[in-house]
Amino acid sequence: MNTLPTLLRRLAGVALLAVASASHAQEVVKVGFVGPYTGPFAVAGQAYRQGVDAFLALQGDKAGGRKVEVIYRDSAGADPTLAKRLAEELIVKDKVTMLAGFYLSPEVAATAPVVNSAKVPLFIVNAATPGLMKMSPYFVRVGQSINQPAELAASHARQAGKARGYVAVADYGPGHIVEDSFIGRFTAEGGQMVGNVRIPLNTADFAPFAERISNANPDVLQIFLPPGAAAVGFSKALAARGLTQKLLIIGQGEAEDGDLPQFDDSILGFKSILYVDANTKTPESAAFVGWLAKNAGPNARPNSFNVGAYDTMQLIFKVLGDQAGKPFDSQAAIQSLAGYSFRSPRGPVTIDPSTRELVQNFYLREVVKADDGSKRNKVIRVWEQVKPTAAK
Amino acid sequence: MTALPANSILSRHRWNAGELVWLVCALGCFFTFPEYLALGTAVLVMVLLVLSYDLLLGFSGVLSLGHAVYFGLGAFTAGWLSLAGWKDPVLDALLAAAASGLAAALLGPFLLRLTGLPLLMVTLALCVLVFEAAHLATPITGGDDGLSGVQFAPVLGLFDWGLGGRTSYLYSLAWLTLVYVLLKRVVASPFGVILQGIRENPKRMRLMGNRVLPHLTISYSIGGALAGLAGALFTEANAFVGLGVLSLETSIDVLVMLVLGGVGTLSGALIGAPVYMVLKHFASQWSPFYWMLVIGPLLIAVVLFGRGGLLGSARTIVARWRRAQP
Amino acid sequence: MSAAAFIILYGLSYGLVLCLIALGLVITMGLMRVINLAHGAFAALGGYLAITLIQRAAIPYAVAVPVAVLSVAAFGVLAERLVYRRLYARSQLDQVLVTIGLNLVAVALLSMLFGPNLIPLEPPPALRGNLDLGFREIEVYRAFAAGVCLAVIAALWWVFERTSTGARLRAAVDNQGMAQAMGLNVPVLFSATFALGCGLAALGGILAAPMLPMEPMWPLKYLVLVLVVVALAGHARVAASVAVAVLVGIVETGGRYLFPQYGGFVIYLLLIVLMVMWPNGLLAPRVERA
Repeated sequence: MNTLPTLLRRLAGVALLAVASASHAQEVVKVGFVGPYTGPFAVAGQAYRQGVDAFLALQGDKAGGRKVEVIYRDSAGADPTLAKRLAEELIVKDKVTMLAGFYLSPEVAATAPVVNSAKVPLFIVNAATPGLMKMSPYFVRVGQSINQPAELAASHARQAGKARGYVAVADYGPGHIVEDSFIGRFTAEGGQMVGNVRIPLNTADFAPFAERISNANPDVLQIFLPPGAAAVGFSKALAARGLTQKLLIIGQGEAEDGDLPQFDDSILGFKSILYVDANTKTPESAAFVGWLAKNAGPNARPNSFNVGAYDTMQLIFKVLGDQAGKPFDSQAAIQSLAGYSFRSPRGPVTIDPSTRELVQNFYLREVVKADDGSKRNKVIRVWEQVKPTAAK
Repeated sequence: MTALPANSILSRHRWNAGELVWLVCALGCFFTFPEYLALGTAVLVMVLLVLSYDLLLGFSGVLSLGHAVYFGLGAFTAGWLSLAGWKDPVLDALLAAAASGLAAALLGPFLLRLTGLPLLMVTLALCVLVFEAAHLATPITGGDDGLSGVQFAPVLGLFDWGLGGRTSYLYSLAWLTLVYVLLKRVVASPFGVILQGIRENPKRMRLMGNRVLPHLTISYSIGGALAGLAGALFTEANAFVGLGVLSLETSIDVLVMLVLGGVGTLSGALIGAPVYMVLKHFASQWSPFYWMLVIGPLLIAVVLFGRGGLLGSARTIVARWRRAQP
Repeated sequence: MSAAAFIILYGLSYGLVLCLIALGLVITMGLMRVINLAHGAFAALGGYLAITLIQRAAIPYAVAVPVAVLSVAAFGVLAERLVYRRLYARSQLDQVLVTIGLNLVAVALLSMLFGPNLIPLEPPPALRGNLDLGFREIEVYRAFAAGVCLAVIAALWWVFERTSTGARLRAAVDNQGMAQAMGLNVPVLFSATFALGCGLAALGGILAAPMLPMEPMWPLKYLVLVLVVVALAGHARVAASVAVAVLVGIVETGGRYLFPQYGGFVIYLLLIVLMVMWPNGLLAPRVERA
C-alpha cells in the first residue's frame, strides 16, 4: 500500500520536472552587441546602447515566446582582431544566436570567417564599405553604403549649378570610397574637379588643408571626416578661412544634432546628406525621441548609431517572431528578411533582397538656428527610397 | 672538463620548477577553459612577443618603443605569403621570422648607436613612420581594412584551424615552448653573459675588448626575428592582419607587459603578458575606462614599490616570509 | 609667395604654442633629469579647468586663465612631492613607465569627469575674427596666442639669463651637489621649477584649446609632438627650444600643406635623421665633459 503514495510522489516529481523544463523551453535568446564602448569612438558605442535600451523599453524583451538578452562586448574601436575574438567568444562561450553592432569595416571583414563557419546572422549597424556584403551571406546592413550619400551630393551639386568640385576626406578606407564616388558622379554629370586632398587621421591643425582648398577656388566641397575632434577642427578651419560662406559644403555625419553643441556658430549653413532626420515627426520617431529625452540626457538626439541599433533590434525580434517555437534557423532568418518592409524612426525602409542592405530615404540637411537659439539640422531635400548600388 | 657550479650564470638554461608549473598550467587551460581558447591563443602570442622584447630590454639594456615594427612585419609577411599561395603555417612562420630578423639586422647598426632618450625617440619615430607608411600603402597592406581572406593549410597537414581556437592554442604553445628553450640557452651562453655586461656598463665592456655594437645588433636581430615569429602566429590564429600590429600602442603594451611581469628574467614575460591581457579583457567588460584606472596605478605601484615586476615582488614577499619563519 | 607666407605665419603661431608646452618639459627635464611623459596631462588639465571655469562658473576669460594656470601649478607641486620625488634617482625606464601610468590614470579620470566627447573652448568675443595684415589675413586668436607665447618666453629667457634666480637655477642644473653645498635649497627649487613647468604646460594647453580641442585622449595625442621638440632641443635652454619648436611648427604646417598625404611623415623623418646625427640635441651649448 506504501507504493501508491510513493508512485504518486514520483509521478508528481516527474510532472514538475516536465513543467519546469517546458517553461525553460521558453528559452533565453542571446544577442551579442559588439561595439566601441570605450576609446575614440565611444560616442557611437553609447548610442548603440541607447538604441537597444529604447527598443527594449518600448517593445518589451520577449519575441516569439522567447526572452531576448543582449550581451555587450567592447571592441574599443581599435583592433579588428579583437572584434573578431569577441565575436568568436560570444558564439562559442556565450552561445549567442545573433551578432550585431560593429563600427569599423575591418572589424566586420575580420569577423566574416567566424560568421560563415558558425552560420550566425550579423547585423551591421555602422560599417559602410560596399565590399563587405559580399564577404558573407549572413550579413545584413542597417546603415548605408558609403558611396550613396557621396553620389547624391555630387548630383545635387550639379543640379545646383556647381561646376568646380573639391573633395576633402579623412585618409582611411571610407574616405577613399567617398572620394572616388563623388569624383566619379560629379565628372560623369559634367562637373570639373579642381582638386582633392586626403587628411591624415592624426591631424591636429587643419589650417594647411583649409588653405589648400581656398587656393583651388572650388564652388562645392564634399567633406568626409569621422565625427568628433577631426570634424570640429576642420569645420573651424574652414570657417576661419571664410570658406563656409563662400562654398557649398556637403558632408555626411560630421555634425549630427547630438554633436551640434560642440560647434560654434560657424557651422551654420553646413549641409550634409545622411539617412537620418533627427527632427522628423512620425509616431515611431516620436516614441523614440521621447524615450531619449527621458533617459539619455539633454543632448541626445536620433543619429545613425542609435537608430541603427533600434532597427537592428526590430529585425531581430521579427525573425524570432517568425520562428516562434522552432529551433533557430539562420538561413531561414536571412531569407525571411529579404524584401521585408517596416517603419523605422528614420522613416519607411525595406531590405533589398539582392544586397541585404536597406532601401531608405536620404535627407539633405542644413544646420540652422532654431527659435530658442540652439542649432539643429533642417531637412531641405529628400531622396525617397534610394536603392543600394550593387557591390562592385 | 670541470662541471659548472650550480648557481653559475652559464647553467641557467635549465628549467626551474616555476616555469615547468607554468607550462603544465598552460596545457591544463586547454582542457579547463575550452571556451576561452581564442583569448588564450592571443595571450600566448603576446607572451612570445614579450619574451623577444625581454631579450632586448632585460638582457641587452636596449629601451626601444619600436618593437611593433618587427611584430607587424612578421604578421604581414605571413599574410602576404598566404595570399600568394604559400599556405603552410610552419614554413610561413619561419619565413616571417627571417624577414623580421633581417630588417632588424639592417636597422640595428644605425639605431643601436643611441641610448637613453634619443633611442626612445628614434624608435618611437620609426614605429610611427612605419605605421603611416603601411597605412598609405593600401594596395599591399589593405590599409584600414587590413588583409582579409588569409587562410592557412592545416598544421602539419593534420590539424585544421577551426572555430574556437583549439588548433591555434596548441600550435602557439608548441612554438612558445621551443622559443623559450632557445632563449634560455642564448641567455645562459657566453654571448648572453656579454649582453648582460653591456647592459650594466657598456664602457667597461669596451675597455675589456668586447665590441658592443655587433653584440647588440645580433641581440636586436634575434629579438626582431622572434617578434616576427609572434606576428606570423598572430596572423595564422586570426586569419586576418590589420594595421594595429604596427601601432605605437602595441609597442607600449609590450613594454608595460614586460615591466609588470619583471624585466630581465625570462619568466617575467610568462607572468606579465597573461596578467595584462586577462585584466584588459575582463576589466573592459565591466565599465568604460576602469581598465585604465586599474592598469595605471598597478604599473606605477609595480615600478615604484615592487622591485622586478610582479614576479620580483612575489619573490621578495616569499623571501621575507621565509626569513620571518623561526 | 602666398604659400610661403601662410606656412611661415601659421607655422610660427603653431610652433610658439607648442614651444610653450614643450618649454615646461625642457625645464623640468633639464633641471631634474626626469622624463615626464605625463606632461601633456598637465596641459590638458589646464585646458579643462579653464573650460570649466568659463563655461560652468561663468568666470571671464581674463580671470579664468590665470586661475587655471596657478591651480595646475599648485597641483604640480603636489604631484612632485608625492610621485616625482621618487623618480629622480631612478632609471630612465622607470621614469618612462611611471609617467605612462600617470597618463593612463589622467586619461581615465578626464573621461570619467568630462565624458568622452571633445569640448571646445571658444575664444572671448574680443579675440574672434580675422586680422588683415595686408598681404593676407590671419585669425586674431592665432596672433594673440603667438603674442602671449612670445611674451612669456621672453620673460622666461630674461629670468634665466639675466637674474640671480636664473643663475641659481642654472647652477643647480650644472652641478647639483655643489649648488646645494653653496646653500641653495635644492628640494624647494625643484618643487618650484616643477610648478613652473606645469604652469607653462597649462598655459600652453589653454592657449592651444581653441585650435586643438580638449578631449580625454589629449595628453597622449599631442605628446609625441611635444617630445619631438624636447628631444631635438636637448638639454639646451630657452632660445634653443624656441628655435626648435618654431622649426617643428613650420615643418609640420609646411609638410601638411605641401604634401597633404605625406605631411605627417616629414616631422618623424626629420626627427630620426637629426637624432641619429646629433643625439645630444640640435643646439647643445654645453658640451658635457665626460
